[in-house]
Amino acid sequence: MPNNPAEGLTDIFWEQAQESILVRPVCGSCDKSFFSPQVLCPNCQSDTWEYQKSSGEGTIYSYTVVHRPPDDSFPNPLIIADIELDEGWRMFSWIVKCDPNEFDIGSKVKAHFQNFAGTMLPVFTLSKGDQ
Amino acid sequence: MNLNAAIAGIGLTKQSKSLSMSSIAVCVEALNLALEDAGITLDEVDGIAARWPGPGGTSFDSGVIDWSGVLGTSFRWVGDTYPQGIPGVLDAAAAVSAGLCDVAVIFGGQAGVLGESELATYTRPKNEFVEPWGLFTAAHFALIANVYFQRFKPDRDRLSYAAATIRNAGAINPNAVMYGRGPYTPEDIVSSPIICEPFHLLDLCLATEGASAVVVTTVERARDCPNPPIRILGGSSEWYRQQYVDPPRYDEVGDLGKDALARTFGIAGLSPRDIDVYELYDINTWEVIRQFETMGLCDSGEGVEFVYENGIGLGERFPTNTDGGLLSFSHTGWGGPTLKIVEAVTQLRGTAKTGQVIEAETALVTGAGSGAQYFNAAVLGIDR
Repeated sequence: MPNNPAEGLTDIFWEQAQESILVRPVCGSCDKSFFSPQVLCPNCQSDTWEYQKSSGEGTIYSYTVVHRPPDDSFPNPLIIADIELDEGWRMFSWIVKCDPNEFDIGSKVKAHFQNFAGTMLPVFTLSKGDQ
Repeated sequence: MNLNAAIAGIGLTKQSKSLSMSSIAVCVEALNLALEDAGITLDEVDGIAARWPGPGGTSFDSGVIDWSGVLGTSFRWVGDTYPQGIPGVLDAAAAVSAGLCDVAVIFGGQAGVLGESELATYTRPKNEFVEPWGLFTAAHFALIANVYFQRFKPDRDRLSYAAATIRNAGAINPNAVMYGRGPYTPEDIVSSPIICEPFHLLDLCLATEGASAVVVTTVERARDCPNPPIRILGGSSEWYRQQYVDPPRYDEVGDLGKDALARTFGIAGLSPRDIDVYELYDINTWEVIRQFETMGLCDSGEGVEFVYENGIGLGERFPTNTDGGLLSFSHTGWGGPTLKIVEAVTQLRGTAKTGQVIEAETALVTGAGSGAQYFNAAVLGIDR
């Protein structure tokens, strides 16, 4: 069996992203959000989860300023972050439209969408009040 | 617990930035060197843990590498879960000890794949929630290290001491890819370009080509071999999450390895301070520091000072990565974890041409790390 996730498991995430909508799996059994998408809820192993719209509001758990991105197509410097969404899930993303000295671990951020290499990617900017 | 298992042979090919041969060929070269070293012929090999599926693997496609076909033999035991490094050797030790097979070989490496590219492809895992944002393996580790740096504010120059010391061990080792490169001062480390904060170029491991192999058999069989047996005294693993899929967090994996190390030392009947030589998985400078903390030699956040005060160079209290490590000796992708075992065995035989710890009787070997979200450890020792 290949290691790929179940076919179509993540389609809705990317379809919604094309519409600039951020979604995440929410379990119908335990109500927990999780990410990345899994066949079963990692909290209670239920398969009754569905994608729901996220507020896109979260906190920077950690970040790293990358000065040597993998290739020239990426911005340089590139701020890669681990975002903790307020709904209790996490994802890798970027912090954009600010300088590394304007924020720190724990700063509040909000999701936006940016067309990168033909895909609408969720990225994050500093929330008002943190700027 | 007494595992009836020992390492009877080791094989190490030339390590280089680029080798003009195939990965299969360089792996078989390492295997043959290890068998020659053990004085054992291929006929006697009945167990194998090596990368690529088969026989009994998970891909049935035509052209898939099948070691029984490549080597023209059949096996009693195949380790297919994590067929390299410490988990491969521990599984083989258990298999040999239980009589599932008599002679197991563990090997891995790469050649003809890196080319001129600055970034090895295996450092950019293809996952739809990772790759589009430009993640690479060092960045996963940087996300964890940055939390540590903010929380504990370690002295950067003293952190650099660890990188400089390990790289300087490689600088004098003719077999190291970075032979002749150095000596480095801590200032040189932070003067090198920043790749992903807090890591500078000289904080990060190599991506190189070459292969390595070990032969595991029973202690009795190993005693008949030309070289003294090196016993597998204990080991353990921690599999926290699949590597490089979801964001690793300091609060979850900052002490990854604590359980595996405690269990390893418990099985071996030794404590971290009893070890004569430490072959730690130095994927970056900070991971070396972190492992001194997870061994329990110092508290979280104190590793930089502990390592600086006690010393990790030859002749110091905790001689570490005596061949130059992944930072300077070599890091051959999936074959990298096996390199650590080969150096530990070399040290315990007392045959290292450089970096030899005098009368080393026990060695700690580790693999993987916090950013990979899994970790493993083993203690090796001379046959008493």
